Amino acid sequence: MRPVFLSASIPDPRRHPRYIDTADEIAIRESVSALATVVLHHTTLVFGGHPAISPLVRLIAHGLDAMDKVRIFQSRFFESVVPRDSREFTDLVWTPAVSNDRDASLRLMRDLMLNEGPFEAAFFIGGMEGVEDEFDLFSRRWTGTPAFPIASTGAAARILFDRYRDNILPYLSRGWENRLREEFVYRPFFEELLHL
Amino acid sequence: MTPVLNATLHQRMADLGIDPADALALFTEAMMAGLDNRSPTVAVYFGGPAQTPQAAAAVATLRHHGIFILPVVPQLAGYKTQVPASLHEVNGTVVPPEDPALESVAQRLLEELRLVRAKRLVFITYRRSDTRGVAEQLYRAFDDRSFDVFLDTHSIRSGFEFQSVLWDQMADADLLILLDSPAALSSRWVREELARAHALCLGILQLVWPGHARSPGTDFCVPFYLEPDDFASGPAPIGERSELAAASLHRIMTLAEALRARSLAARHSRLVGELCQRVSTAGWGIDIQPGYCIDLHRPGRPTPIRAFPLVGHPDSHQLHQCFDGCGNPPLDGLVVYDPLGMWDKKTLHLTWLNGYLPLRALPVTELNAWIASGP
Repeated sequence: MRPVFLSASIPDPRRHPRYIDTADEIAIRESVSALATVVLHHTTLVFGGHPAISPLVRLIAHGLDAMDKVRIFQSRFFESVVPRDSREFTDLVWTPAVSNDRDASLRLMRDLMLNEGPFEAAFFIGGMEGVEDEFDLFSRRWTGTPAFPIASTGAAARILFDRYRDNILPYLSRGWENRLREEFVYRPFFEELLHL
Repeated sequence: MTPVLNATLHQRMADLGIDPADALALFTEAMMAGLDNRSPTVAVYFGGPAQTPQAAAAVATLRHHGIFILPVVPQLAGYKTQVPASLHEVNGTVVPPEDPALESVAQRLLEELRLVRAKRLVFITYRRSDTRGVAEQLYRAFDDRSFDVFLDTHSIRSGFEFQSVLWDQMADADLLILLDSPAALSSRWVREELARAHALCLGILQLVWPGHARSPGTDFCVPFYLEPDDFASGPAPIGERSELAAASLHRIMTLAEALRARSLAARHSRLVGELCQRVSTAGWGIDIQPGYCIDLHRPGRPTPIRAFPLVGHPDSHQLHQCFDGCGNPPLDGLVVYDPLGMWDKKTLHLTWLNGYLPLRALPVTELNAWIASGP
């Protein structure tokens, strides 16, 4: 089975009101935890390090004795603030910082991360602009690979689902578009989406 | 008080994902003849100086049938003059003025119906030199509300074994209070504890100290930003002796109760949802019974398996309770739990118990393999 790509974050109420309106933090947390559990039983999980997501993935990977199945990307731009949790992954890929440019450094990190494919599928959970950017990049780079915005987690995933619904439908059994929006029991749902 | 309690019970059941219109029936003493003894029943008696013979007769009947009754009185002084004789030996309770919605009464009734757990365990994690006064103040406040409180000072760690037991216990909690003072998250243990609490889907209330930016990586916590006004006059907010003002403490306690209920509801629905989905996919029938259990009907088999989804990690007392719920003669019993965060020795203990007990404890992650084994 090819690696699975994860893009997830928790909206910050002080910065992005349009994301926070629909964000469901409990669902974001549960779906990240469920995805890591389902994927790491079978294949590699690829994602960009995040201070709240990385510790959760690390804990689950550690429990499954699958630390080597996580490939985490971090930009050198954030080297001084990268949490210790990210550094504990054996497969940590540092991408170069672009002078003093935060956005350009992130762009380069995302380009290099998404060149890692081919992927089995990608999952987009909660999130803000970064998750939207990664969805656009992924869809362009890996046309034909399913990219699932988990709309029930709200925030960017919900916006992406509403915007690209027609592109996603071919990857879903009939009636499943509602499950992307309404399903909160994630472990069996993700197994079905990945045909496990 | 009855309409208020009714409204709160409806709300809390809805939070648990249970449709109150379907699952809840309210009876008063005038409607005793309509009570169905097969349904799980709990009662509350609102006492006071005046009592009617009809209410006293209803209480006596309920007591005769062994039904739990919670006596609620305006004050505990002169308790026996406020309730019928059959309740004299039952401990009464007083609703505090800051609980006008009768949340504490609703909670007790839901626990008795086993819709929420009788075990109320909260973890308070803090840095002793910064916030000891507030931690101990919260300890007393939770203790007053019938919580078991685990005060976790970051500095006291007695080795790996202690840590394993601690994290195993955390699975039985529904709530973690993080006192986020400037240096609180410098400890590796605290970060690990937070990650575990998140993986278990506990509610985490983060009290952010005045002048301190929320610690990085705590985005999943529910923040409560403390202001200097939230502290009692006296020592500065940071320090071993500082304490919260009474009004702020009440706000935090109310928020904590609501967060605990949400966390418990989420964990319960995740477990029940996964159980129901996996057995339905296998073509089994599902019959959700009163009393917090689910009968699983296998095709072509005359009797169902009675499943008990259990939030947290099961202990032998809970297994015994579940067996008692299997009926007489007993149906095959199955206790389903989420093994995440379970201590290795506890896993071995449950495996050992499974070899001797008349029911089986099964991690939710092994449901598919269990179904495929053709039980």
